[in-house]
Amino acid sequence: MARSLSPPEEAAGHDRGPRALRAARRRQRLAWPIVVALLALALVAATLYALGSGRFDLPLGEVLRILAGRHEVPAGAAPSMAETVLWQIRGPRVLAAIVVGAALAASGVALQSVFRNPLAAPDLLGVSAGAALGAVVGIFLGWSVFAIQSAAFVGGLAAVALVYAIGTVLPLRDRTLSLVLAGIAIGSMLGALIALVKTLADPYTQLPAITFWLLGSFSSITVDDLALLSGFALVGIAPLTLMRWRADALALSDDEVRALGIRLPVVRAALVCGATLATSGTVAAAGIIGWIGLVVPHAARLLVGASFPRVLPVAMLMGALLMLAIDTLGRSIAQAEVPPGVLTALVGAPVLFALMLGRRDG
Amino acid sequence: MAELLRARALAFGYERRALTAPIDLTLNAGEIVVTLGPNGAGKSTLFRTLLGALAPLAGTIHWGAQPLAELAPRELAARVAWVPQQPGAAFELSVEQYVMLGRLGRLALGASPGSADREAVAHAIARLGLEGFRARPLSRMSGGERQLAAIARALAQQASTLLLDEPTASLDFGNQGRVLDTLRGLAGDGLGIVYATHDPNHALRAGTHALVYLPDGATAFGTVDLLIEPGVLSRAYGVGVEAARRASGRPVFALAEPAAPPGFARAASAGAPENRASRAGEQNG
Repeated sequence: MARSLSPPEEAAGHDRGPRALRAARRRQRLAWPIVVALLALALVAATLYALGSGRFDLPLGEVLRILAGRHEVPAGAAPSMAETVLWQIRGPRVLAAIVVGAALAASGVALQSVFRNPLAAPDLLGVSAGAALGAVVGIFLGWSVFAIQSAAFVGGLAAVALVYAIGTVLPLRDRTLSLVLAGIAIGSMLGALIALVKTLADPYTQLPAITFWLLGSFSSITVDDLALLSGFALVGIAPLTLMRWRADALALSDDEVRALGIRLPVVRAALVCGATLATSGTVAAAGIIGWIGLVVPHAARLLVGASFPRVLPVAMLMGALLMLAIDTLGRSIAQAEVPPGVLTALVGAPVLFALMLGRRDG
Repeated sequence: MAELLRARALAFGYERRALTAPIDLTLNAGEIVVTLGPNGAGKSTLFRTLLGALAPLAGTIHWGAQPLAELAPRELAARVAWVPQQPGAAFELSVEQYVMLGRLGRLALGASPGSADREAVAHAIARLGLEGFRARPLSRMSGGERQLAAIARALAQQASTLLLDEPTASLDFGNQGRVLDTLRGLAGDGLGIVYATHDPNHALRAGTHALVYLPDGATAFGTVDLLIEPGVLSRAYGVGVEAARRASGRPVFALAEPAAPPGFARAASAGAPENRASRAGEQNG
């Protein structure tokens, strides 16, 4: 019964023979697990290197010995200097960079697919600025760390809801353009509100804290911060993982998605809330770090194609790797630490141009 | 035969303005209803109404025994699959990933597609002859090939009814014939099919019933033999339609010859430019 429509040999306009197609298919099937495995290996190697490098130098053997032999430290004996550095200072910092990078990249993947917009990213849609405002208000009012995190989440969610609402109401035909315009407008408004809070803040105690925190930094991350950040990131990334297959349908029109039997509002809300939760967790822990959420998803798509369930883990690994590299670089290249937000922007903008120049299709 | 779709006294349109007089439409398993009518008559709007994307202005729609309004998205997707006129542009997905979208409504939350899903996708791809395109991104396929991929996506949904909005619009002659034959084959397997087309000959090649949009909001629903004939078609489109007979006796439809030969029309209007020029001259002076 299966009558063949346009067999591959006659597929006019396409130069590839059946053998090349078979090879391409094989390549695509192999590529994804291989890419994931290579990235995971690279991340492990980078983590070991980052744990060892810094002002207090730890050779690789020492790092491995401490990691493996932690429980052999006799009870009551004071931990060595190396152990303190690894477990209390550098370990949390390295892990925080990994979690932040993965969370920002995952948020970017989700937002780009919800908004059907390659420019969507936590920082462009006002999520970061909204979360920053929430956190700044929290610092200003002297709230607890958890309350500051929650304020960041509420601020981020409110900002993205506002941007989306304005973007849909604007009478422009180009929804991409109206979303970007709304994002820019809301972002600068939130920036003004942050500046307002800063002028109201106590110049000797609160203002330095706010300023330092807005620059973004991993240098003061504690084990508690790391736990809270990881909690937010996990709770945020969970819905993205659950919706990873359905997210691919968002490339279709709304009516088509519904006709496929998918509850569109549920998928959208899960992705936006998850991305906002993960992003606001990173903002509360390490300040606004731009570009990762925008650039890394594009790089991941170039590697493994556009399918959401494939892009998500690859982008998370790449984001973690990039963030870790940038933080390690930032604390090694100069006497004073270079804030990660500065380096992501310096690296991110040229990478984005390179990615766009490298695109041959679309 | 199992009744798949029943619409009664259905009025549909935008902003409370019905596009046609209320229609009655029934689709049974194994039947193919062809909708024919001029541009803007409401063929796509009817599809969107039947799918619940647009609320009906009046009347009832039942899928199987159940009213449309009572069906959850997942239940509706098991009953009907839709190929829109311009299917969604998931350009970066490969054909295989794109066809897999048809299975998403059945996936449990967080689950990955299983072997049944992969089998349905492979079967749909084979039925549309797209085996050689599995790994190719949609961005590197022609409009016609994308159309075939969209039909495969609907097929992978394994619904009992297919709604196809101009499925042959961007296809070459050969693929038009093959898609129509595939639709006949699917109806033979027990599916119900409703599709829109601008070519009355398609209705004869693959169609048991027709819904024809006539002027002034009138519609006609009946068997193809009854409705697909020069009189009804001329009325629907407002142009002369002629039928020629094949050796088999089946008619072939074409536009009637223009009333006046083109040469005559040109000669008659030859004086007009001069007239306009002289009038313009008078106004300037």
